[in-house]
Amino acid sequence: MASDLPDEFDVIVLGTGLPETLLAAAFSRIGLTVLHLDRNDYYSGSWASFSLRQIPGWIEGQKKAQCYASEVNEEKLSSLLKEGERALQLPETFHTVFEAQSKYHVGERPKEEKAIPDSSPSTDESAKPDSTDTSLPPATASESGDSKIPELSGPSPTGDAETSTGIVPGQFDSAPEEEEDSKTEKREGEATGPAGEASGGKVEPAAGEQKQQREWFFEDIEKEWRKFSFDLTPKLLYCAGSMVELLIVSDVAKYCEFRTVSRVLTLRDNNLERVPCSRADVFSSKALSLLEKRLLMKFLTFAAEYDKQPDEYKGFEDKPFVEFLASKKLSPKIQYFILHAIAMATESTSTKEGLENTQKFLRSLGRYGNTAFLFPLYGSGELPQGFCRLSAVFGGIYVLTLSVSHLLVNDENKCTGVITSAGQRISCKYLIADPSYLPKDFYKVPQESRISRGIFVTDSSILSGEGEDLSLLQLPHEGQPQSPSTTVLELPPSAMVSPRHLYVVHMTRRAVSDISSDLEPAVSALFDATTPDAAESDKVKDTRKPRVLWSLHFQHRDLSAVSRSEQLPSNVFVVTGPGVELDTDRCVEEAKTIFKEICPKEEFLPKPPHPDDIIYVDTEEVPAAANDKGEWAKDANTAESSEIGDNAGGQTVEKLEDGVKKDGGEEEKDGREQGGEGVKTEADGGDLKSIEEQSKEEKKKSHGADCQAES
Amino acid sequence: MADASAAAAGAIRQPTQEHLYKVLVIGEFGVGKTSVIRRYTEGYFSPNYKLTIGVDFALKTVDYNESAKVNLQLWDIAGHERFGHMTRVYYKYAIAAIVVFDLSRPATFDAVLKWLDDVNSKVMLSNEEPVPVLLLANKCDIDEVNIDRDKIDNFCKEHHFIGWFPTSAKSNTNVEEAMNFLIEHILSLPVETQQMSPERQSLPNSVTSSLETSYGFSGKKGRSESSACCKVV
Repeated sequence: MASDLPDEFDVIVLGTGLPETLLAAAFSRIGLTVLHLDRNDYYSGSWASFSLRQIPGWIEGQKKAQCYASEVNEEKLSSLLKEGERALQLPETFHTVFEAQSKYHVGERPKEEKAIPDSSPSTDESAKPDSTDTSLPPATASESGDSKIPELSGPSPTGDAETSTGIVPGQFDSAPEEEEDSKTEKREGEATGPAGEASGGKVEPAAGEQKQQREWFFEDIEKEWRKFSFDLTPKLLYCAGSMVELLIVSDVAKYCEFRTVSRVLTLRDNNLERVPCSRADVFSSKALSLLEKRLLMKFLTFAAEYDKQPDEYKGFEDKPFVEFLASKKLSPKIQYFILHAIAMATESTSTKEGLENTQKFLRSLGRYGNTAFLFPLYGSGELPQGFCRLSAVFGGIYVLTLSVSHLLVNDENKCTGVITSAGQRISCKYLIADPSYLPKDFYKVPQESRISRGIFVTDSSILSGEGEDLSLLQLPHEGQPQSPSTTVLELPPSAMVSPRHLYVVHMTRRAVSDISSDLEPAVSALFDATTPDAAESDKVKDTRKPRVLWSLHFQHRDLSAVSRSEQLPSNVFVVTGPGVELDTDRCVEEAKTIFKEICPKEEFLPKPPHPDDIIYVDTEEVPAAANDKGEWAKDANTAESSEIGDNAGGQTVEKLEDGVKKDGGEEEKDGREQGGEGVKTEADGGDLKSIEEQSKEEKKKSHGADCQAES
Repeated sequence: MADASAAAAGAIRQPTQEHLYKVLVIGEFGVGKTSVIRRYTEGYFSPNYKLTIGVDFALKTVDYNESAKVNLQLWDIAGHERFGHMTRVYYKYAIAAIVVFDLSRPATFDAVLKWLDDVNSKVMLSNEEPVPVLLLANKCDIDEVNIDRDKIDNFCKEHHFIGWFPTSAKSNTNVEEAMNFLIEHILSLPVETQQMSPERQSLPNSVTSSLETSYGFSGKKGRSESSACCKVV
């Protein structure tokens, strides 16, 4: 199959991680020929998402760590070389993932109970959840009902926090969620929750939750394997960040859907609280006193435009952000909120960085509702795939399970091509590679470090609210100010990464020791460690913590700060791997930089034409990739003219540009229309509307500015 | 031209229900996927098709009957994901697939099962049933080809294709018929597979297919029309 590949490309890209795919898409988009390879049989490399059943295979693959099985022997190799070229063998193994281990924390369904679900309607169609679900309570009640009642029935001291979370997000969630619940019988506890809370009662939710209690078995989880999507590298998008901007400009947004991160939480004194971030939040928050509200608002107003008031933080620039916050006479609670939930900083973050982060957070608020972050439905692994599709639509050629065994380098230390693991020589002008494809002396790693990752499937939310919240929690480790904090991301079923009733929780922390001890503090703080049948009645429990049903742990080598070394041929570019940061904006900047270096005059991922504006031309000037000549034509039964050259490519691009302009006007109009609808659905939030509109305007401005900067 | 009756019908009355379906068109390289799509959507054939650049899918609007207007999105594999490794984006929300092979090249028939397995492993209807797959035996205009109807009939039965047609994009044989057959089958699917799954309808917090632009995956305004929804694996 691989022999079908043309022998020459403008750019060869190794690895389908996010920065690589951005570049592949950008090059295809301007008409360069791109060959994009991945040694794995899945897209996205370290950024991939897997279903439950794909995990064991992935773990095995990481253990083998084989890059390729070369089919090239010395003799063949030398026959493929041109004069002045030498072949550099690439590493045969890579080690980026360590200690990967997945585990079920539930047992198999006892035999006598197996009859019950089997006798229920033979299909387990999701379209009929009612019938399947209603068959379960009898089984679970008899099995474990006793042991669970105690932990639930206690009054909930987190009442305050919950009410404070209740009011604002209610604008978004309550009505539609209730509708959903009535349809699907889902999470009765929460469905009745908001109503109960609103009328001042706290009794109903407890009763509801009790009913919701369900014992999970191996079979229940395994049969839903398709519905899980576990991100190796879960990432969020700042609503006003460069990734969102790029998704819009490049039109890759059409391939993706998003859900907003509806809650930013903090854990203080064993108490999970929702952090008030926006103006509306702050005013409605019951967690803050009136004075605190005023101080917090004052600070946020300043931070939103801190760069215009340098006097305010003079002298603190390089000092820790904590010291600056302390100097502002903010209460400890507010300081904590700002530091860990808004600036996503640690005790060692500098004031400058802390303010930058705060500003970015604040600018992102209100753009897509009362949130600063978006999460891609089906997982972050959708992002690289979206850009791959864009690249393919514009002529990029994709081959998975194909790697490169040798780089061909000429006497000027320029890469002239590669030998694929299938033994084909392919020439290229530029090579982009993820560091795990390259010899160690081709790149520099400033400091060897690892990222500890935990993925958990749980049976309830860490802080049950009135709807399905997508929560972000930055967990500092108390008493160890220098110790890296743990980022916790809890994804509800509506994020489309888990089946009904189950949550996926991601933990990410810069590794300090081995995998289990790195995440232990966060795990024990958030999850219920007890086994289902252990009696817990003596324990004082504020609220029921989620139980872990399945987990995956691993450590990932941090290659987020790699840089090129002197040995690297000048036309080879090494991109970075995923780091511990929350978002992906660094990748966008990185890809832009490399793109500008190679194509200084071209636009990075300009808006593609609308399909209606593309004129099919079935003559020789058709937009065809320059390399397509021989191979394609043979196959296609068509005698393709060999006149197609770079020229044709150039014309194509121009034509497309025209389309873009025409398109632009329409888009704008439609955008507004949709904006209007968006406000309608969220109409309850009074001042949201104005924020939305305001941010829309700002967006347009900044969009314009971007274009100018680029052109 | 083939649309004459449909167009006439459209002039008489307003369609009451509009459907949008995403259909995957897959098969080995050079079997005529693009030709079939272009013949169907634009009504002509050209021997000089080049690789389709910059287009995700071709759109065809069919006034199916008095109560249904069908917008069919035909997703070409962009020529380039032709090594059988399509992205999830490609499969997402597809409600049906068409596997095309070339009657003049038996090897392309041998690959049909590979494509079928690929579809079934990557996408299913929201009721967890496999998506309906239609088989097209293309290039039936070529004189030398022999069509072993019994063999293909049995093959389709065995592998649960919804049916097959000998087609020719060149001579415009059966393309329209095959597509109408597919549409009919899609419309006959249980309603729940055609609707958005409940999760999707009630995502107050989700910023849907478009961030700012309002072209969803439909290429049409808004997403209210998109009724096909499937789980992507």
